[in-house]
Amino acid sequence: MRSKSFPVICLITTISIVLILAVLLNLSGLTTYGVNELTGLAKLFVLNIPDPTKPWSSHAFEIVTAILWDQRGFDTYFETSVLFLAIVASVALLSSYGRRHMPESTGDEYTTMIVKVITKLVVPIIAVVSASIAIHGHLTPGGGFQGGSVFVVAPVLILLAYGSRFLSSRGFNEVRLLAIRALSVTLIFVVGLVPVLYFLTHGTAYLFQNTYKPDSAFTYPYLIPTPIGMILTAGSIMIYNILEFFAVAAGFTLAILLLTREFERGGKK
Amino acid sequence: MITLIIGAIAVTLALVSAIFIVNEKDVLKAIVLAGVESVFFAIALAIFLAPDLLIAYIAIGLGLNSLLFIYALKRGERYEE
Amino acid sequence: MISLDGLLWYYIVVAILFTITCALYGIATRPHIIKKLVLLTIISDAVYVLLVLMGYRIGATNPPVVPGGVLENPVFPSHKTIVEFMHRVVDPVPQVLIVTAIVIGLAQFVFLVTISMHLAKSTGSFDIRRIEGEKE
Repeated sequence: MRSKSFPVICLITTISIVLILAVLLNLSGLTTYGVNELTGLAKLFVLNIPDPTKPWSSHAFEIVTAILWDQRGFDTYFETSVLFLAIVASVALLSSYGRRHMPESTGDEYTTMIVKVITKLVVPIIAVVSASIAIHGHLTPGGGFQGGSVFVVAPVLILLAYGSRFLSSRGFNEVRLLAIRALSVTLIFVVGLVPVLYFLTHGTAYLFQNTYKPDSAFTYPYLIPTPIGMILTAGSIMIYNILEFFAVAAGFTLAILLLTREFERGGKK
Repeated sequence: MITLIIGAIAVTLALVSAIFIVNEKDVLKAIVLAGVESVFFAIALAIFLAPDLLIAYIAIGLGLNSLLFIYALKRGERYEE
Repeated sequence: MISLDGLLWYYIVVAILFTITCALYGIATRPHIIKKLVLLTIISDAVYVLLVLMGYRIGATNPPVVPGGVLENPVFPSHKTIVEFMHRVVDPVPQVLIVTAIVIGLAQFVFLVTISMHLAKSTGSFDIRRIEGEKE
């Protein structure tokens, strides 16, 4: 049988093997590490994306989000669809064995006043921070995916402190959340399809195109004049980020809501 | 240099947590140890200059994954064997 | 020649590979389904860190974000600033691959957890040997 000291023996053996292998790999010179040159593809992205004088520019300060929604936009759209399908599959499985009776307990009799008050204080902060992460996705680290997954922490706290009935009674029911999710994914595709309309009527344009290209004059507005100054939207990247924020947040809130309802209903151990 | 040392320590601690998770009989403890392990990986991501991933990873790896597994664990037995 | 930087670099790579190996061993030998899923998350997290490490350069000081981005009245960086920035930045391409993978991974785990809840509801256990009928 496994004894109490088994993890320690395991650990010492593993770390010594790791050290020996590290020395051997270093001596063999099989791979290069810490090369001081970027690859050609990375160099192309870093030089072109933030520079508005270049023809392939995205007018964005954040290179990761710009690649995600401009250079790899079509790919990211289908990754969003994969996310949508996974959520829909788990919702289908979960709601097939719910429905017959709602949970008797509201789920909030086990939490104390301290938890409820702290939740009430923390939830607006999380919501605002996640929205800021999503809206400033083309300027600072973050974006739609990151903002959405940070936002899901707020419904989780509410569900744990107040129970699922609280969230359902405030308008966050399954139908509405699924509608937000589907609407966001559809709108992402519509925003990506607008260049095709331009192609049909005017001239060359590409699917999921952001700003102008050398052979295409189509461009989303990337600097919008407003009373408080020029607002940088980086073309369609800001729109995609906000829509993706709603999609990810609504999808995961829906899944967690159904799982929590299942959890509160109880069942045989 | 110093960043690589911090990264090496974080990755080593993640390896230690993985070994402890494999040898843990109580699955609830294993889930909590997986949260600890994801904190070490998050330190490694911060050291290797990936703040985009850090924002998504710390919310998902530490918060939502643990919650999902604890929800599922209520349906069956808690201990292995 | 052994340099300390190189040794640390290979140490990190081998340690991550060992983490993956440990988790694979646990998936193969331990019977509890939820524990298998926990170890699966560890494998995917280790792969994320390994891919990010592939894009890291020793001596790089900047994440792939051009400094100075503001929403109102932005000043775009000049070509000289960007070339200087290029020498200090890590490789952004591996990070782009992982951003979506993290979020899709969570959706897959929601699905897997739902399936294992159904399994436990119909068989009454998470133990794979009890589900297979080898042990009572």
